[in-house]
Amino acid sequence: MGSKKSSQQLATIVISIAMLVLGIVCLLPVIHIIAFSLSSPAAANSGKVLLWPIEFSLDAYTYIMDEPKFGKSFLVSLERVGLGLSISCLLTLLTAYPLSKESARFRSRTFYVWFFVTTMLFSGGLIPTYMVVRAYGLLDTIWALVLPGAVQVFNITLMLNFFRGLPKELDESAFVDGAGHWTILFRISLPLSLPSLATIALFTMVGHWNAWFDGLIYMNRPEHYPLQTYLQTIVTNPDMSRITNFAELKNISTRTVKTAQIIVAMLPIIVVYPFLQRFFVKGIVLGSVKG
Amino acid sequence: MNSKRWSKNLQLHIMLIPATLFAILFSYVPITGIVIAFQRFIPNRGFFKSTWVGLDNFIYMLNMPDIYQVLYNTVFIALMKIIAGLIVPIVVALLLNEMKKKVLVRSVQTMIYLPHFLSWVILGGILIDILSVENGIINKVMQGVGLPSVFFLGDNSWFPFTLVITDVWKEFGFATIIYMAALTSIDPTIYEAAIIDGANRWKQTFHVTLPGITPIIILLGVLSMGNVLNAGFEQVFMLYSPSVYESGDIIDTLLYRVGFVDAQFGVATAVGLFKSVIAALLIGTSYWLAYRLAGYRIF
Amino acid sequence: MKKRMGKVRIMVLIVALAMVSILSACSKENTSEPNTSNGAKATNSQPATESASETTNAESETVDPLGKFDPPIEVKIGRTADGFKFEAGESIDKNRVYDFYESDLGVKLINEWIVPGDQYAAKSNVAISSGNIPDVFMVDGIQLRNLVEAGMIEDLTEVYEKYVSEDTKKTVDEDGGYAVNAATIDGKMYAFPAVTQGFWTSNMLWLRQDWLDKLGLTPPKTMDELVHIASEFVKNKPDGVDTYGLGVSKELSQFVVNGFFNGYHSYPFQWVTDSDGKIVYGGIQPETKTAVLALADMYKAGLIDKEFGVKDAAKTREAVIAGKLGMVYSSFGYAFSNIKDLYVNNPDAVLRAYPMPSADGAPAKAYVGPTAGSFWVVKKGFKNPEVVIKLANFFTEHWMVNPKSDYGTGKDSGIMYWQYSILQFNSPLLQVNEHRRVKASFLANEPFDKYPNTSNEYFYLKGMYDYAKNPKDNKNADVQNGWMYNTTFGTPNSGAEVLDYYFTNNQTMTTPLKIASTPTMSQKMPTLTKMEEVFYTKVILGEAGADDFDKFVADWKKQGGDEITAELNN
Repeated sequence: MGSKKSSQQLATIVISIAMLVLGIVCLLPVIHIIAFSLSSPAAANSGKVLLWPIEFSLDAYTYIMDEPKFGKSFLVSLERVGLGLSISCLLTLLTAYPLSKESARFRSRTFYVWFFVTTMLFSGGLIPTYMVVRAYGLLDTIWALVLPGAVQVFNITLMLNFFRGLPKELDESAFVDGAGHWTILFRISLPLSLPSLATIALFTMVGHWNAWFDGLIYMNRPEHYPLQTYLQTIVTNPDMSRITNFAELKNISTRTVKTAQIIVAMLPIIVVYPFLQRFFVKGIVLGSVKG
Repeated sequence: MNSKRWSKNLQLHIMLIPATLFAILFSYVPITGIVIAFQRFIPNRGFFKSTWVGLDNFIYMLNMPDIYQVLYNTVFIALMKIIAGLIVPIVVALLLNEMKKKVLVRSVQTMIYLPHFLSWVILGGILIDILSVENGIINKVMQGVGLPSVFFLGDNSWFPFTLVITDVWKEFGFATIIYMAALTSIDPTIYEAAIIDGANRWKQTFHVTLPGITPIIILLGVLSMGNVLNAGFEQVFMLYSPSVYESGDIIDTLLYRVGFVDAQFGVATAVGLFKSVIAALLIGTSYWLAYRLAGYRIF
Repeated sequence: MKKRMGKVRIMVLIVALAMVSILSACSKENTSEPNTSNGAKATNSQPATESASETTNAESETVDPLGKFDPPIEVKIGRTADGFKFEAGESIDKNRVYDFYESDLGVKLINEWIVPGDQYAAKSNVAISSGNIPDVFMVDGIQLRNLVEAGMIEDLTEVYEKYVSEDTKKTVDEDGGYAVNAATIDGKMYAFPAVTQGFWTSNMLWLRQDWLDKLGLTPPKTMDELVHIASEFVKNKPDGVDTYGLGVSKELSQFVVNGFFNGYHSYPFQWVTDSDGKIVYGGIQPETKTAVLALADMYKAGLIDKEFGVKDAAKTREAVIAGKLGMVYSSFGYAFSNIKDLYVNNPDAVLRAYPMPSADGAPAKAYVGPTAGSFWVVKKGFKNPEVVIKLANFFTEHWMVNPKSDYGTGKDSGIMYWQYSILQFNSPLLQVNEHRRVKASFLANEPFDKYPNTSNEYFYLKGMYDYAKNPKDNKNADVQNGWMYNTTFGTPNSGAEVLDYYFTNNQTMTTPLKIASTPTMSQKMPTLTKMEEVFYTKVILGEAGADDFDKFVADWKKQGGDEITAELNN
């Protein structure tokens, strides 16, 4: 018994070390990029920077953040994530719940399921979607960034599978008590699905935060761009056959700016992550039912 | 009873109204744009007045240079990415599940989640250095243990694997999150019962943990089949070179080089539709297989 | 059961109805008159049919190329505004240059959309494909063709003839008619060509002058000398680190070593005229075989990075900056990428440009890119299509011929107002002329604020003095810029000086093509380019040799090359 226990402990240690190594393998490039963004352009551009900044400099960051557009686009992004997250999550819950019911009970289920899955598989593409957004009068408004992708079928399928995993006795007993579907969804299913809700919230958030192309297409002025669109377009490659005014080209290293841009863009999402991690606690689901 | 169920089901219908409306407005209306695939699309004429060309756009696609080699590359790379991208996160999630120190679990989870946010444009430059034959750290380590050097980015027999490994490295941490969420829903009492039955950790993993997350594994497995023609444009574009066109050129890079993505929406839409149809077929088949073999309907 | 089916049917019906109504709304909008996108603003647009007569009435008998529109007209444009700076109270929507357009030309510019330069193609593509273009905007060659086919833009043949000013015409025709040709489809001129300067992209040889001096070498006149210098660089490691000889990267088709090939009178990936005056492909000529085999020899001798095949141009620049590379082919503006950091890292670093060495006695000619890749177009139905010509005249007059300091560069703030203008274009000699004036002033030691109007020259000259005064003060930003300006526009052997040399000695070669592409070309060229790229890479790496060249040529011809050549010669 004792040796068994110690061999288990050994296994835990081995696994922990292996996972830690894996984590470091993932972390090193990020550290390299941070070091790169904090180095002087001259040092960075000569390929000398490894994991520690050489000739420490915040120029790349001030270059990005000095523009008044930075603040504006940051606010646009916050608004976008706020609206997008609440709309998408609400839609996901409202859609996943009915679809998690058995077909025998809810006969239209199959129709609805394929109705939504089709939208995941087939899409009209960029131009038709753009024309539709324009026809609805959403161009150059925040809604153009939030509404077209509001129904996340992947998240819905994920959520409906999580809902199905919940013990069936729960709604049955609730039904007997006279509760309706709305009550069951918001009072029983939802509190029990916090880890999965946190997952789809994270996916939605990251999706909205990272998206930049739609901002470019749907917005007509740079001051309406969300942060990622602004960051994506901050460093442009000049075309040699067109430049007439070399004095205009800034003393700026595109590569340090690009790396700083990545760090600036990922920082808020990284800060949010540990908060969501609190939801990934084993046993929370049934523990709360029984408690 | 029947009317009661009807009123209960009415609630379900009401819940579905918003998403249904959204799907109609923002998916089904633009889906009609798929007709472009069968047209020589001329802007300003609308979707129904451009010249109809039948399957010309598809024929054009299939007549693209080296299309069969390119299709093969695409499917080969994408399939390996799908398989590795499915297995690695599961294994990692299971291993994380075995770790005891919460702080450590969370730190590792955060670390492996980071590469998802790096762009291939930046990673491309870094990978060229890391994978260099002469100075790259990987080859130096390999030489250190007596292995021959490998030209990861310049050798046709290695290039697809380089793509797969780097892609999995970038994304596995993010994919692990779903499994970590799924693990939380396993009833702890089952473990307790298993321990009383004398199951060791190995057996617990196989008889409790794995079955507990099987629905999610099946779900993600089935859905990932939809990516069998998406081998990752940005990554390949940043990493490939004439030396490895033979093994690394994929549909999206070919389209890009042919230059029709921007200008010819007919061809681009046809390629998109082709991908969608293949994806639908594969997802449909695997959906049916999952139902037949595992008795599980993912949707 | 029946009830359920009914429900489904109703659902389907609702979906169908919704789709039909919305779609019809969409397509209605596509085919409707311009300017309907923003309801309120739509009122000022009139049916296209009446516009012609109105225009003629509004104009006086004598046509004035700079005549003011009275009453003023509104013109919606799509544009870029990368990195613009503004005086307090001004913006891209309201500024002194826009006011100038309104007060002096009677044109009120309204920015329908503004997009960063890198993304202009994506944004304009969406605008075109969705049938929602601004009144006046810039497009590329393929977009121009699509717009003409879709009947979305005005024919400018007549208004161009009628309104173009002498000065504008002179600049546009400077390239011998290629630009106007490129804007003409089926005999009609559909656009005003935004003349760009392919001349400015021509290759020259950049060398670390301090390395040459250190090793007692003279700049190469022949390819053999070039190889010798490369091997000396590799052998002696002048900066103390392992050194490559010649910079080569994987993007062979993007002309990264074009100059090397040009040295052998070889023009890979390009069309040229042969001795009989016929159009032939440069990539399959015997000269190319010689050139690519010469590269292979250099590779074998260790003068080229072993891993060039996977490295991009950014890595080559990195090597230059790190002092690992002292010989590259590039354009005259090479120092304006991050190359300046070479000097920041090493105060002794001196980069000099030289005309390309030649393999034989005949001087090497630099291949010049096309002069018109972009075109300004006017939306179909716009009342005053001549506005685009007048805008061009206006630019020529007030920014080129008689530059106004009020709209040039702010003397105190350094803010460049001229950037706000539209329909900008330039003479191919702009850089050369600037160089000549700066050089003359520099050699005569004239103060840099002697010519206040031309902001470029002011900055260049000031920088050159800053550098000349303290050439080793490489941590000073002014001196760093001075190094860069001196390397690009100064003397001796700046990039622009070599451009001047090419121009004076007629050492350039332009495309013989009169059209951008042929049907077979657009279909088969990508395969052929891929084949060519792969083949050269293999030859350089030593995986293919001299004997394989003939097979490559045969394959190239068979897989569509012959067909395209025939089409081009018709």
